[in-house]
Amino acid sequence: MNPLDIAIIRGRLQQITDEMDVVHTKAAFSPVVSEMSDRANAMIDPKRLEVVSQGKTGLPVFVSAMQSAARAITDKLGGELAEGDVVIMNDPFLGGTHLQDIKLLRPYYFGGKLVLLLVSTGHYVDVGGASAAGFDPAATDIFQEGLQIPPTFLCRGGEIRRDVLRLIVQNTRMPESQEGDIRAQLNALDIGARRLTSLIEERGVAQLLEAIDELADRSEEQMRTYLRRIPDGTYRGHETIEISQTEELIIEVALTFKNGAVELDFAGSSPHYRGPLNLAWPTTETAVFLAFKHYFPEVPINGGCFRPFTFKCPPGSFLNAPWPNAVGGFSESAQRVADAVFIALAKALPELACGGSYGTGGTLTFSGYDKNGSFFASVFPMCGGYGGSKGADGLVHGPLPIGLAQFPKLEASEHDFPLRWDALELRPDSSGAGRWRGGSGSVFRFKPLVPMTISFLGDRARFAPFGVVGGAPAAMTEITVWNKDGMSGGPGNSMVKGVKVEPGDCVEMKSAGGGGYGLPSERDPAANTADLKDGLVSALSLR
Amino acid sequence: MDPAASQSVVGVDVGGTFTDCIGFDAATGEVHIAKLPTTLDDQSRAVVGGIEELGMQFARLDQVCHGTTTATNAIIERKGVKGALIATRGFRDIVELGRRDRPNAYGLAGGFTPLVPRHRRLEVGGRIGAKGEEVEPITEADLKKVIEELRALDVEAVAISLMHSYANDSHEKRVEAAIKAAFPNMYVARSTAIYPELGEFERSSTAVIAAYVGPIITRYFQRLDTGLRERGFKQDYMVVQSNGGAASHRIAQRYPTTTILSGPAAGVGAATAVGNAAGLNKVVSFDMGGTSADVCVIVDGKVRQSIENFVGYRMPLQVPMIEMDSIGAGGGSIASIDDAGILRVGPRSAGARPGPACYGWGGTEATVTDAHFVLGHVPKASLAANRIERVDPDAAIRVVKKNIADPLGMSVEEAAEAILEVVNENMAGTIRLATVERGLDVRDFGLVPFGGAGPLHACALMRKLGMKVAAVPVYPGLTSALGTVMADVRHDFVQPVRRLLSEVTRADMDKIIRAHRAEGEELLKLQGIQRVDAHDLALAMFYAGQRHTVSVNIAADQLAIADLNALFAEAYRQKNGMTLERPVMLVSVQSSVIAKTKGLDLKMCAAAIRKTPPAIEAHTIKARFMGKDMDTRVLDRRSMKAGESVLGPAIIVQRDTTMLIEPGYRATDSDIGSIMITKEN
Repeated sequence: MNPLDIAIIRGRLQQITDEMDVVHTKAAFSPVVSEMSDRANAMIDPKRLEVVSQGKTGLPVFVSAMQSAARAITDKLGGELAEGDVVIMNDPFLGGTHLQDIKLLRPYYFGGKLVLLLVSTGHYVDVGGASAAGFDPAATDIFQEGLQIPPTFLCRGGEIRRDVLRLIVQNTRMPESQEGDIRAQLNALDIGARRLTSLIEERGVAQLLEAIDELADRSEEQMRTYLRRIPDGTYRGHETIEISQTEELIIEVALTFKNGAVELDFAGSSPHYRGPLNLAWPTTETAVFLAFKHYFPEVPINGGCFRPFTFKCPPGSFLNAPWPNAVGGFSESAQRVADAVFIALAKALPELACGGSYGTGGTLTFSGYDKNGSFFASVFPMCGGYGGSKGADGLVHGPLPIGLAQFPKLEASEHDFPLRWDALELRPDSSGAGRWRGGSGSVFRFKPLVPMTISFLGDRARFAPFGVVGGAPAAMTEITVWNKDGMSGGPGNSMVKGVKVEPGDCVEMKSAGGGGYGLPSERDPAANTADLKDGLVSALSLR
Repeated sequence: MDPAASQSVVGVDVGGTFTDCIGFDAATGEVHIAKLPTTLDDQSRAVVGGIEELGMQFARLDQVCHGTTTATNAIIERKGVKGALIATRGFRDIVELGRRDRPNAYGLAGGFTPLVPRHRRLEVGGRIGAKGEEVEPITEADLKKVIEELRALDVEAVAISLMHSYANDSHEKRVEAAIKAAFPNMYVARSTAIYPELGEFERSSTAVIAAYVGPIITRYFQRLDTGLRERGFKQDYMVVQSNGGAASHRIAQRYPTTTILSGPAAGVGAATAVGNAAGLNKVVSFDMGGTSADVCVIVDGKVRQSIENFVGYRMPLQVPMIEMDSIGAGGGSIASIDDAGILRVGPRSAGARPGPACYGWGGTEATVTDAHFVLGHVPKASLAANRIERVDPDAAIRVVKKNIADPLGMSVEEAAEAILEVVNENMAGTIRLATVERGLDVRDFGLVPFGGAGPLHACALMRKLGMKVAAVPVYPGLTSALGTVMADVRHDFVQPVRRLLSEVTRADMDKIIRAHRAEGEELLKLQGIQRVDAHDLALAMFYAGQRHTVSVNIAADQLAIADLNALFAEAYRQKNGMTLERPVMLVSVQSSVIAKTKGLDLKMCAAAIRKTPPAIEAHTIKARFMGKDMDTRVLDRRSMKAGESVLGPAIIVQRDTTMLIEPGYRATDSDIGSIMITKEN
């Protein structure tokens, strides 16, 4: 293909999905979408069912989830799809992640011919289920986690099906916000379709289709070039997820590189269990692709890049859990899958390694009734340090590496909810030592102003973020709630379930830091002095 | 002095590479221009030197207007002063923690160094609640302790940012008073004095930036004042602020953060004036220089302001700034082949040095400028007009061939056209996105291209975006300097409200408007201006529960509370394509109190430019467009008469830029001084 045409079309497709992101965010109600960017928009090639382009500001964990969703929808409804239709679904076993992520798919036609599939996914604060705002740490199956939507027509012939919309909206604790968010996604799909039409009017369908094929082939070759940098062989990663004070899930992964391709084998990982930390298979895949994209950020989000990967996962594994297992805590496990891959990659290509991050998708959920008797529910995300890397200490207060979601404004949350913050600050002696140390973890503490219920689903309270290339692991998570019954949680605890608190009580989270890079003995003494002066490390810890 | 009465005026814009000066002499009706290398260590030297080069007498100047990058440079180069931060106990690290983000979506390496290190971030007791209520008092003991800690730190500046101070600033004010009492010469930046809005991180960051650059700006403004007065200038010079308005340097010193986007804002001001004069009510201002292009959307002479601006990663700066989108695309942008084997242009730039290969300063990569050279878009005549002596067009051919044409299997001309096509496509995308974000259709807009490289790309952008008209300003390369002279004197104030519209009364609004008006009048009086020409409001609102505000803009004397719901719905529909059945919340009221400037008469500029004799005779060369070598007319802008037009392909040269008129487009020298480009049917 003409080198200019391919460059122009690639740029234009990227721009179209970027525009979809913008429109989605601007019109969204849910602060999770509008402030935390917990959404993504993409276009999919209906022939191979590979992602063609994805908005740059989309949440990383959706890197291949939209492709999985498009595959599932085509599989279930493919024959019935027509112009003017939009399909809605949130089934994680088909599209990955959890029930909160609602996906809309619109087939795009030009001149009566199916050209592309436009897909939009957004996080909804509440989709029903036992626990308001989702994330029920006690869930034992998916029925407790909320409304399941299999691929369902939301629009037919360009018209919204009011009955379907009502069915979905009535199953949430926040019906108005839900409807606003669905409309925001419909807008995003619409702008995508309009821009595609202008592109095709300018360049013709044939050239667009040729470019889509060529971009996929080139992305594949690009990925293979990176993979060839890694010496052929097998590299292993081992990670652990806490599911209670005494039980854990194990991830074992073996990465075998051979001539520009890689096989991932998850043999030895734990079986699925009756709790929310299982993964639907599409989530495991997306976590792996995401880990590689963090290692090689130049990799485009294009289905061609996924071609050099093959997977083996024993049936019954928690990384490949069947319906109707609970999967609400997916972000925890997906992050740990990425960590296991990072550990293996640190052995394969140490130059690019980073120490482990605080890396828990843990979420604090709080809910209750305000002084006017209105129900409220929301979440605060976890925060903490990133690992050190060659040449730099780790970042503090990073988003979850599989995400981008930001922390809400503390002042805004005091307006929106009956609570008062005591502190949000760096946590001394929490970073992993190293020639380049990890970033410090954080501490946050708040007090309820009305009775509320607190749940926390976290990790890294018993298994620390790892160091690399001789660096030390970081300090671990500690969740503590004080109420009239005394203290819940404390050191070694990353989970509390449904604790009732009232005014005068206190909720505290101490997050993990990031792991170190390189031997601590090789650290620049001046850097140690500065850390001491800033109170980030104590003299004792430097001995 | 009152700018409406100004006559002989000078505008100076200091950029990263050049200091641009433009002066209008009322006595002779002449316009003078000068371009000097920026004196990076002390920008005031090139400012004074530039005015000297204009050949105008300082004593007879009525006004000097200035756009500066002093504050920006101090932040980028991390050369601010040693300062401290005082925060509410438990929250001193907010300024380092930020809002939990990372520099890039992909890739986890690297860190962040805050402007104030942790050991200089102090805590103070006391706590204000969300409604402004005092939850915990601030005690004398708290204040005493923090003063002692400050003494030990020996700092030059202090930032103060306490929780919920936007709702109740009494604690912040007590801390400020205690510091002033203990250290009378300390530079103090109090968060609510700069921008009293919700957002503890954004307010803290803003205060820290103000403390970091405040003393540097103050010293710079004083040095420049001395330099100008020593040469006989008798007035207080004016400074362009980030909101596009001007203020006396004495006022600007009080709010140093308002000068951070000074230069680019001035350019937008000029573009607004050029658009108005051309009868365009919807304008895209497009300023393309060596490394980046700035895009700004102007509707009915008004530019949207944004509050959430960043001066770097994790460094938000909350002051009203002209809303601008930037892209790494300029004359020095480097063309390369990426890992997928696909042509990419920018965001890497060869900058001013080594610059494009054809300039012969050692550049070995193919840039946008090199591509223009290969295609004959920058003829020898243009170089002479631009006083560029050392140019090596063969070098342009060499790098485009080696880096792009050979690897992609194209001819060197095809490769050069591809480079331009890709960079034009990138820039068109940025413009399209900028209009979409505001719910507007770019085809309804006119383009005002400027900056050193803007006029070379005007036709291509019109073609890609379906725009019907462009107005190229009189001195495209000096448009920001021109804009400093055109800027109205303006002061902005903000009052957070955060109440449902249904609960807001006329009396509430009147109280806010009167207070802002009084503050504005007082500042204008300090600058010798006894009038207010406009008092505009921007009412930031959203549907209760949302996070992103949509503003309704209205003149203060046109405000009717009963209309606000409908006005908001219209603004919201325009942006998001729909409205919602929900209560509307008024988040804040921002006022702009404005005294108009007479500025520079664009017609006079046009007349002046024709007074100078052309440097070249009109002639015809071969240049390449759309894959074909075409006979292309080359003419000097100074030789064009009012109303004269030329049909593309044509190249119009002048001292500060080169204008490319593609086949199918016509350039007409209008009587307002701009060259109007239109599509020929």
